[in-house]
Amino acid sequence: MYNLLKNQLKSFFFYKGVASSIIFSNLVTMISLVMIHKDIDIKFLPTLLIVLPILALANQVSQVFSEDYISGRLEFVLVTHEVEVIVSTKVLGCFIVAYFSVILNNLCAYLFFNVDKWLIFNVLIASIPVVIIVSSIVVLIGSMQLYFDRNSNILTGVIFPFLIPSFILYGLYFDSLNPVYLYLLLGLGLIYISINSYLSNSLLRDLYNR
Amino acid sequence: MLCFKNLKLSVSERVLVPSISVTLFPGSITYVTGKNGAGKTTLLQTIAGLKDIKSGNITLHKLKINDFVKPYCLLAGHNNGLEKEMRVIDQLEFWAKCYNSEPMIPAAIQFWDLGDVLDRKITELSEGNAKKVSLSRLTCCHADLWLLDEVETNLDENNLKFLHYAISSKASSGGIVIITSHQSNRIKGSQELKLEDFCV
Repeated sequence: MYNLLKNQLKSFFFYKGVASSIIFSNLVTMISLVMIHKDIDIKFLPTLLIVLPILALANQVSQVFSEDYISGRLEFVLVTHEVEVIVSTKVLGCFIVAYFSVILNNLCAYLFFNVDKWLIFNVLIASIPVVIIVSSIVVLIGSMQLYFDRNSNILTGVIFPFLIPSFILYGLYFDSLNPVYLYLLLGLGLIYISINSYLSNSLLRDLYNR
Repeated sequence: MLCFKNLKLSVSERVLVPSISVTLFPGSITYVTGKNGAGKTTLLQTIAGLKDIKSGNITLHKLKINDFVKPYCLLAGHNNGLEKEMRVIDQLEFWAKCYNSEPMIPAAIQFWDLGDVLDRKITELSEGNAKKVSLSRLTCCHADLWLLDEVETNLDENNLKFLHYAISSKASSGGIVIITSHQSNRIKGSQELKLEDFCV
C-alpha cells in the first residue's frame, strides 16, 4: 500500500497539476484575506481557510481514475493490488493533498495575518473530518464516472450535495465552539467514508464485468 | 499448472465461449487465437481476476485463483499502462516494488536498452520506445504467469526478437505464458489454443 500511495502522491503533486492547483487555491485565499483583512469577521475565517483547498480537490475528480483507465494503468494496478487497497490509497492521497493545502493556508494566516493560534488549531482539527468526507466523495464520483459512461455528470450533481451536512456542522462548530458538533462531524465522517468506500470498491470490482 | 475447468466466457449477457477446459503446464507458451470478439482478452482478464468467473473454475497449482494473494500474474494489455507525465525510472521502480523484485530493475534496463531514456517522461518518448518501456515490466516484475494481450503490435523486428527471447526465457524457467496475437511469426515450441474449437 505504501508503494501505491507514494506513487499516487508523486503523481498528484508532480505530474497531474494538482500542486499548481493547490498553490493557486492558497494564493486566492491569501488575496481574499488581504482584501477583507480590516473588516475580517472571525466567523467566516474558518470556512475561508478550507473552502478553496476543497474546491481545488473537487476540481481534480477526473484525475482520480479515468486517466488511469484510459492509459491501461488501472488494469495493472487492479492485477497487483486488492480493490480495497486501491480505493483506500486514493482516498488517503486526496486527503493528504487537500489537507496539505489547508495546513499551508493556516500557516500563512497565522504568520501574515496574526490569526489567533487557538482558532488555527481548531480549524486544523475540525477540517480533518470535512476533508476526509470530501476525499471519499471525490473518489466515489471518480469511480462512478468510470463505471457509468453515460449520465455521469448528473450523478456527480446528485452526489455533491451530500457534502452540505458536513459544512453545516463545521460552521455550527465554529459558531458555538461546542465540541458536540465536532463529534457529530466525526460520526458523519465515519458513516460517509464507510459507505463511499464500499460503493467505490463495488464499482471498481465490477468495472470489467459491465 | 494452470487449469480451466468448464470455464464460461461472456461479456454482459453475451456468451462468447460456453465451456472451455484446458490444462497448461509450466514451461508452456500458448497462443490464444480467434477472430475479433472471440473472447481472447476476456479469457486473459478472467485469469487475471479482472472479470468474475461466471461458471466453472480456474486453478493455478491446484489452488483456485481467487484464493491467491495478488499479484499472482503479470498482465500486459493492449494499452501501455504508462503514466504519461512520469519518468521512465519512476515507472520501473513502481512496477518492481509491486512485485517485490527491485533487484531486477538493472536487468530490465540492460535487456530493453533503456539506459538513455531513464530520466525522460513518457510523453517525450517515441511510440516504439514507450512500448519498450511498457514491455520492460516483463523483465523487472517477477511472476510465474504471464498474460500478454496483443503485445507484439507496434514492435519493430529487433524488439520483437527481444520480446520472444524474454518469453522463451520465462517459459524455460518454468513460467506459463499465454499470448493473444494476430501475428504469424510465432515462437518455436509454442502451442495454439483456438477459441473457436470450444464454441460448438
